[in-house]
Amino acid sequence: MSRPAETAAYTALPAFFEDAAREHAETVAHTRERSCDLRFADRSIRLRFAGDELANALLAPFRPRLAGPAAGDIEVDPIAAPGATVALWQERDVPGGALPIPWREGDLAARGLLRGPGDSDLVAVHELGYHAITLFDRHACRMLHRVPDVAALPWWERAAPLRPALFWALSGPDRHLVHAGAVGDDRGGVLLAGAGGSGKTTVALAALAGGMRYVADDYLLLHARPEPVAWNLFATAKLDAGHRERIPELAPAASISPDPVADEKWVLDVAALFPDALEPSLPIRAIVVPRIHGGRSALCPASAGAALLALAPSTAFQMPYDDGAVVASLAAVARSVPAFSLEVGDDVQELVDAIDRVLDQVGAESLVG
Amino acid sequence: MPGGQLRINAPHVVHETIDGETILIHLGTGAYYSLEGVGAHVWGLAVAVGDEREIVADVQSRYDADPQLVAGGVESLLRRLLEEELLAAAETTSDGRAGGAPAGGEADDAAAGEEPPRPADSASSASSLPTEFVAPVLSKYTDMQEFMLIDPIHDVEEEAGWPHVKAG
Repeated sequence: MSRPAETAAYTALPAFFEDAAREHAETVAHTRERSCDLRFADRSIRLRFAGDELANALLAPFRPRLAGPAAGDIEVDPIAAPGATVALWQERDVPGGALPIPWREGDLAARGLLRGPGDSDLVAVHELGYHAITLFDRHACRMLHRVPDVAALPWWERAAPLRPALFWALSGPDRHLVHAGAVGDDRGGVLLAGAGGSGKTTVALAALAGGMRYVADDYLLLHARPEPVAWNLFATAKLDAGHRERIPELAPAASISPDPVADEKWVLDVAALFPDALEPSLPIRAIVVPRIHGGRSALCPASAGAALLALAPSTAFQMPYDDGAVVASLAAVARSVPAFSLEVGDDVQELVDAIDRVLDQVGAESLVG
Repeated sequence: MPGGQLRINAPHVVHETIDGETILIHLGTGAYYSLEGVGAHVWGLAVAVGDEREIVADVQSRYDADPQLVAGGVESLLRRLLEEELLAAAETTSDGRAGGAPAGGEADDAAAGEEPPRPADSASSASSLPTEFVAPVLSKYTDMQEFMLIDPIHDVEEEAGWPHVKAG
């Protein structure tokens, strides 16, 4: 386990978990429960919100993933046996005030993971920046997610919510939440690999505007075997000022807070604006490693090692909840499909053409093979 | 360190080798690394064999080059891998074999005096070795270390507990 030795705070986690579960129940009694089911690939997650306010804030990016015939509406048919459940509430709604958290900064490792034994049934993440906590009982596949105040939810949480909970609910052998984008068409998809700022979103948005299908700009569920498949998690894309300038036709459709914080991005509701383009999944035919370059775009073959170097560290460090188990799966994907590097130039159409060429090339190779 | 027994610094380090390129990730520091050619081959040997003398001898046997030059390059890389805490010195048993967990889980075989199997990693990396010896280089990347940062310290409201900031 990469987490350093557990601290005294970890030993308090089992009791805190039970107390927090009671706190959720009390908050539901004080407000009302609103439940809905999300479906990702063959997995489902039941979200049990205390009250409407947090549900309204977090559910929008999941609209296409809501299970049941009324997907897109709030009330949907529940799934009989969800694979995981998440109880969600805000401290502000807790009658009598919320329980204090039994750990301190020194008890947390990277990304707010509570230090403790790697093989334990209970884990906790204290999300830095806005102090949401997610507690996970592996054995029961049960999670608790408490936020201080929905009014203080950061913009990124509204755009791509509940990542630790999704990580634990959906991950398993050969399937992982991965920091990557994916776009494509009938020929299949390409996985866009790279750290933040490498150009994943630029290429994904260019493809979206160019009529291709869209799975993600930076987070997705990846099945590594038997063949790699990328699954959509969030129906959003995040635009910075450069994206708005480069792809102006998307700019009016993206929204931002009335009083944005530094580096806040505009959020594009892909499901609402491009309902036919938002794809639940795409089989992955190639890995494309973009790099912001300027000038003319250039595409060339890359090694599998270069693809893994672009994929693995950013995923392992952003979601360090599985001791790097994701790296073996990403290596399996890198071994199974060709890789390309893409110097991201200024012309959006050149980026669309580059993805088109990749899919043409790997399609031709598969026919030959 | 000559003749030292080495092991991967598990569980902090995860690694994969593809087509003669090795990617190493140190989950504790936020740094990651790559090795190619001789370097990837040395890593494969460190994973499977764990004995520095055997690693040096293996690489020397593959090149018609000055053995001292080869040994110097390999030992220098092994020192870097130790300094970066990607490898750690393994405890040794009375017969000089690694008693910890050398490399690819071959500790029991080694302790029993059996010939350790040639590791898949080193076998595959050997096939992509350069024809001329090139001193191996460990490339280090630190652009992800921001993810290792924790919130800044602030005062605690005793009643509400951390992380509630003390009013006033």
